[in-house]
Amino acid sequence: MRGVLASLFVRGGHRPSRARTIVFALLFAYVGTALMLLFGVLFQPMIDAFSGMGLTWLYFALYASMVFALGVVGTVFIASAQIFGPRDNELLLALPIRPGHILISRILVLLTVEAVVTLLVLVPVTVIWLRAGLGSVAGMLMLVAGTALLPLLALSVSLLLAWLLSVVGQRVRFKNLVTLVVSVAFLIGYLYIYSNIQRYLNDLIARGEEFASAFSRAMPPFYSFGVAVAEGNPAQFAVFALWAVLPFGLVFLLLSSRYLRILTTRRGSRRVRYQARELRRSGRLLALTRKELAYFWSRPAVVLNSSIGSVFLLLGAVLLLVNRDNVLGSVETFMAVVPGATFPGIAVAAVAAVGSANNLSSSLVSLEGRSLWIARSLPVGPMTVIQAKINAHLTVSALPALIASVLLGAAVAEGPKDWAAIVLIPQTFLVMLAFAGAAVNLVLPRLDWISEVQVVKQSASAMAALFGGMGIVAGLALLYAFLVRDLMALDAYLWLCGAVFVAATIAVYAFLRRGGVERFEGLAA
Amino acid sequence: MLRIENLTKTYGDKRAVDDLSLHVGPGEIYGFIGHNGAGKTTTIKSVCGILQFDSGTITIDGHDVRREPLLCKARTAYIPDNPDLYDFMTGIKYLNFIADVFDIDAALRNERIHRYSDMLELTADLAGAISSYSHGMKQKLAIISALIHEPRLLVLDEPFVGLDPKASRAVKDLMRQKCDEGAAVFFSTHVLEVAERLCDKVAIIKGGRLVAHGPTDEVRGDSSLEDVFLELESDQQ
Repeated sequence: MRGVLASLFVRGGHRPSRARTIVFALLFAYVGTALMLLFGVLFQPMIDAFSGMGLTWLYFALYASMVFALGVVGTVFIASAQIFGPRDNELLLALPIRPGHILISRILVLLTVEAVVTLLVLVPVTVIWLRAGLGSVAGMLMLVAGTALLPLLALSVSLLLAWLLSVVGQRVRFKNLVTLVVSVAFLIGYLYIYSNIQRYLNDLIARGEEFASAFSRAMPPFYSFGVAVAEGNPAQFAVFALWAVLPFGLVFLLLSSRYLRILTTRRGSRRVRYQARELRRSGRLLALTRKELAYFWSRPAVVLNSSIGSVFLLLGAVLLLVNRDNVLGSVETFMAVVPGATFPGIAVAAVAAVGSANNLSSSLVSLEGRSLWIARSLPVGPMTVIQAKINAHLTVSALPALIASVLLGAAVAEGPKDWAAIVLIPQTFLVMLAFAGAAVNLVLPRLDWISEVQVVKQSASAMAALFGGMGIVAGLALLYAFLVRDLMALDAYLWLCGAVFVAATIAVYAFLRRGGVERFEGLAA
Repeated sequence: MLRIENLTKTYGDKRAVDDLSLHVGPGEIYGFIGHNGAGKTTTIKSVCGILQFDSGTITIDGHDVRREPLLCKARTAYIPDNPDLYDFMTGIKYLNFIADVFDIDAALRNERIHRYSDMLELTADLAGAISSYSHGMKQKLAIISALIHEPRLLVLDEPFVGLDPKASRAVKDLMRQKCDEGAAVFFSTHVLEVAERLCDKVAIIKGGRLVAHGPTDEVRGDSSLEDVFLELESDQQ
């Protein structure tokens, strides 16, 4: 367990510096606070409505189902990678450790992740409940104890789903494509529900009693949880505890009894006999860029985590094509509450903000991992290797952004000036992010990973690039709305931003050529 | 072909390689022997330009690895002790990628890839994903990729680990053939019998310092290389 946790927080046997710890603590505090506020906004209208109808239990039942859903969504892919796919499974199996203990150590890490997610919902839900004057000591005790058990229920489901993913992954022919399609479909479903949550909430409040009755029949564990907390009812708490502990115990017994078999069974792949054919020649940079893209497409976890912005940009473009009026209607509603907003301005900000979720270049140096020796021993300069990684990022990021920009331009541009802004300015920003991501990865590399997920999802460079990009868009939008709006027109401000992005790209490029190259040469291959 | 002069590399307080000098001439197979942690891999990685060293000079074919790293890498082939290759590629795509980076003409790469693959009996598996290869197959692929650009210097870290006897023999023959063509081979090994039979010269390293080096017959004297090695080990303790 200590080993697994160390792999998350300690690099190459060294603890992170105090400054780095403080920066990341602040970053986590910022993200945590933002998410708690988000959940607070979601739950605030429920407490008055449900308590007025005598359905306070529904408030807690919905809290429990939210924690459950987030727990499953948040851990299913991590469980698939950490429990069924890490590189160190064989090493651990060779040690005198029971397979069940390996499983427990990995499950404890997942429970830690779920506990953090749960806390983000628990805090606002509890504050809202206490502020409404409905809290009781017994209820509080059951809320805390029940919340401690909730991750078990979520984990039972995510473990089974992760197992299913791993079994399906071994049997299907186009494993990567299938994993990718299933994951994107899963994500679209999740986003669809999330984007309609306000409507569901309004329906829920309007038809509270009807919904409560259906909910209590369909979701007995959450019903028991809700009644236990709202009424301080120990009998219902015991029922909920059984719902949480029993399935988890059964899933754990099932997995631990088969864990050795699961880890050691490899379905052989069909042997493809080589047929000699002419090999085509490419230039060095093109060959290196193709290699980066081949890696990217071979790893669904990398595609999903490092280029999710492109997925959203393409989905957004499709949505704009099929549902133009509704999308523009929503944008108009948004414009009404944002000072100084215009259609082209929002189009630029939207493509930049969504595109900033692409952070592939911030992982590609780390993802070299144990094969870094190849890039280091080849007769190509470090800058060429770095450039290939940036090219791969741009290939994945620029084209979807361009498609989205062109469609947005067709929908909202009123002249060549709007067109130029919508198409060019987001590209200057996304190019800057591609270069900056590579620089961040060279400053914060992580080569000792055992699963790619640790790099693309949990590494310092990936998080810094993701939050940094989004922070820049948010910061520039706020700067305009509250400070610059009276000083200059929006289109002038956007072009100024574009010029700053170009200058920043040149500065980052200059850093890469000196500091970046030095850091690459200093990496232990 | 390879000149190492006063090479020193430290990790924190530990001197992994301490003032090491050796020369490998064209046509020579040079064995590098030492216990685990003696400094073999550190020396090899420094030669290949993938590890920065503290002081000393390394030249390959007259080119300084620090000042002209790309020229040196273009003349060198390196095979690490554990060939972690790009397992998301097929064998043939990996070889073609290496040929691209070394800028090998299309006709030449076709001929060389197939010649060396046939020699190491890997041709039939070239369409398979590297992730499905055994350790020995990966080692063979790494060796083929190292030969595509006809290097002047072959630097191999434990090259026989994982190879079956037939492939092991083929690699030894290849090493001799390359040396006959004017190249040089510098390799580390723990298998002293192999070093004794194959190497024109050997160097024994202990605690980062060379404790013996020269023509194999001279280093060995009237005893076996194993006896000399064990004797030097015990003398130094």
